[in-house]
Order: sequence, then C-alpha cells, then structure tokens
Amino acid sequence: MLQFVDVSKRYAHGAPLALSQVSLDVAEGEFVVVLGRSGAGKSTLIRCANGLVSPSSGEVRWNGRSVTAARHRELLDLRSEMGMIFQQFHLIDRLDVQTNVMVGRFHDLPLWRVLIGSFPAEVREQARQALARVGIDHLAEQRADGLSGGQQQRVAIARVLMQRPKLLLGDEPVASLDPVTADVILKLLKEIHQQERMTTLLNLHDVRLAKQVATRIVGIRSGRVVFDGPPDQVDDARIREIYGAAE
Amino acid sequence: MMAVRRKVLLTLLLVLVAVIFSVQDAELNFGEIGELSNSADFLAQMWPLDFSMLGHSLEETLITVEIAFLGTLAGLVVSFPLAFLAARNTSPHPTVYNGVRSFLTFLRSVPELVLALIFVPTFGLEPLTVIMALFLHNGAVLGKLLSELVEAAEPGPQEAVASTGARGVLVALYGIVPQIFPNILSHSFYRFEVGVRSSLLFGAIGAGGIGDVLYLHFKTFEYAAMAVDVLLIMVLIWFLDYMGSYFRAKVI
Repeated sequence: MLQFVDVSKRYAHGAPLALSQVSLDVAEGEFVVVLGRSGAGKSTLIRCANGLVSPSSGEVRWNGRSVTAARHRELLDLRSEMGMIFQQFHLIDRLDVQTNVMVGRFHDLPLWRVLIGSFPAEVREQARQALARVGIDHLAEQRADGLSGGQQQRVAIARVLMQRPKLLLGDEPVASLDPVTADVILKLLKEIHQQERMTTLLNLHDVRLAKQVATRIVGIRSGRVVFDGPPDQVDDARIREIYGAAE
Repeated sequence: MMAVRRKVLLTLLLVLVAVIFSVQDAELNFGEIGELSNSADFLAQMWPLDFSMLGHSLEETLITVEIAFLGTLAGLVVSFPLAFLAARNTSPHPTVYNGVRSFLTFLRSVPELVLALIFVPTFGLEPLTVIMALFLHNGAVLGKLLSELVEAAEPGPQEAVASTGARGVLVALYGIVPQIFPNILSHSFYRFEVGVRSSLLFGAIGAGGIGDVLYLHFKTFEYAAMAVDVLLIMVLIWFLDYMGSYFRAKVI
C-alpha cells in the first residue's frame, strides 16, 4: 500500500543523511511502529510518506502512484488519503474544537465555503460524531488551546476520522503526554485500527508501548533500517541494536 | 582604561562640533529671547476659552479620525494579500517574493507628505488626498509588518492543515492567520494612531479636519477658539492611547 523505495534524505548540503536508502513496504491492515532514538530519522520517514518532506533520492509510492513525483492537485489528493497526527498536536489554537475537526474535510469541501467558514450542517454533524467517537463531543464549542494535552490529541484524531483516510500517520503521537494518558490514546488508536480497519504507521520511542500495539516493528538507527519484524522478536539484543549503547 | 576615556572625550568633542555648526546654520538669534513676552501675550489671549465654535470643531475632529480610519483600513485590506506574497514561506515563487518586497520597500521610502503632494493636483487639498497618502503608506508598512508575522508563524499548525490535503490558500488562512491575528490587529491600531497624527498635520496645510480648523483660528487671531481646538486634540490623542492599550490587552 505504502512503499519506500531506496529513500534517502539530506536536509542541507554537507549535513549528515537523515535517511539512508530506506526501503519499506507497509501493507493494508498493518499497525507498524517505527522505533529509534531521537534524531534517528523517524520523523523524516513519516513526513516523506505524505510529501511534507521530499526525499533527496529514491521514491515513495502510494497504491502504485508516486508521492515523490506528485505535484499540485495530485499531491493534495494523495495527502487527503492519509491522515496525520503530531507530537505537539498542532491544532489551530484560537479556533474552536469543532472547526479544528472539520479541517479534515477541507480537501473535498467547495473552496468558497471554507474561505468564508460556512460549513454545511451535515459536515458539522459529522464533526460532532467524530468527537463523540473519541469521547469529547461535550468540548465541541471550546477553544482548542484551553484543552489538556490528551484532549487535544483526541481532537486531532477526530480530525483524522473526519478525513476518512486509508492510512494513519503518527509522529510521536504520545511523547508529550503523561504515561496514563499515553496508554489511553494509544489504545484509542489501536481500537480505530481494528474497528475502522485503518492501516497505521507510527513513530514511538517507548518499546513497551510499541510491543503492546504493533503488528510489526521497524527499528531505525542513524537513518538506516536495522530491524524489521514482528514485535515478539524484539528482545534485549534487538533493542541494543536499535538504540545503541548508552552514552 | 585610557582607551575608554579617550573614546568618551572624542565623542563629546564630536557632539560639541555638531552643536556649533547646527547653531550657526540655523541662524539662531538668541537676542530675541527678550521678546519672549510676545509668546506670553499669545498664550494670555487664549483665556477665557471660546467655546462658541465647539460644535464645528468636534465635527472636524471626527473628520480627522475618519480620514485616518479609512486610510488605515484601505491599507490593511490591500496589505493582507500582499503580505503572503512577500513572505518567504507562502510566496508562490522567489520572483514574486522579491518583486513584491522591493515594491513595498520602495513605497515605504516615499514620505507621506510627498505621496499627498502627488494627489493634490487630482483631488485638491481635500480629505481624499490625505486618505490616498495614508492608504499607500499604510499599505506598504503593514504589508512589510504582516509579511514578517507570516514568516514567523509556527509551522506546526500549517503542517497539520497541509497534511489533510488542503490547498495552499487554506493552509495560510487556517494554519497562519489565526495565530497572527492579535498581532495584525495590534499593528493596524498602531498605524491608525500614527495616521491620526499625520492627518492632523495634513490638516494644517489645508486638507480638512481639526488640524485645518486650528490653523485657521490661528491665522485669524481667534486664539481663544484655537485653545479649544488644542484641548480637543490633546483629549483625542489621550483617548487613542488609552484605547490602544485597552485593545491590545483585550485581544491577546
């Protein structure tokens, strides 16, 4: 479904490679967790999937179409099929929760409606339902920046549900949350993975959490894939291989 | 230690030389200081205050404010799209970015007075001339200020909106504008305050408003009525200062 073919990324001339010849195939229905230290290239990998970052060489393919070569309308169409959540949630702080969720439909709503902020009743209703699905429909009218971290990530997940993508991307979605909330949010993502059959590709740095939810784990070290296999193969030796010795 | 002292002495010497040259060139005649009583006379004639023309002066004060309001608002409306073209992160092309940026810089370098003079042959010494000058100047200044706000906006929300497949104009409108909105309002209100001061001065060259009335009362020796105009202006400036700080505290 999502293929990385020999993908390398160098951010600036003379900078080290953030990704080095990464090849990876994510199949429909998988829950893939990418593990690695900070700076190993995990975020770059996730961002290459929907073209927020362009690879320096290699290609990303989505259901046979090239993300790397896509431009303009074509790239927007591809992106609309992948939802994404972030470590810092990245909601629009000064707008209310419901509008934040409706961002998920910006791709297919008529431009003029979004420009003047006139959303059809049925879209508002869908936003309410998406919020109910993640358990916070009572917060719909509140401003996004008044919410706790866990609530903000729920809003972001509701936005993804609104978007109805085929793939969910997550860049360290629970790294800014306390351990209990992190568990709850990850369980929610797992639930959505199973109930909506949403293929999922996440970065995490917590091995314990990764083993709880993943159907497959990919280890990245210094921009290279050093492990790719089922969670039960991730033992202490593998963990050392992915994370390296403590400095 | 010695080096520092020498630097201080040298600076003082340079300032002294500058003062001497300036005094000479401005042909200051301190002999006339004995006739300071003339100014005292002038001030004395302001009393008792003449409120008979207060109604007219109030109307003209409102016109001064309206001139500044229209000039600033028009400038803001035009600067808004220009700011996105002149910001590195939202400009469609480096050529557009450089072009708009240079244009704004050029326009900003033209003094408001010169802009006004350009429109005098067309509109005459009228409020519209001042509005046009304020509009062009504020458009350029706000365009530059807003483009800097756009460039400094947090990339996070922009990435989040872009990740849904929303097009660029929506990424700008939803990912950038809400976060810089309080600053846009604050900058605009400040430009409005500056616009009121400019509009007062343009009044004195005959372009309408309370500045115009004040100068007219001065020229016709109606000093007691003029004093009322001065009071009105002081109240107006004080009021705008107060509104400005209230406004800024409220929005952010």
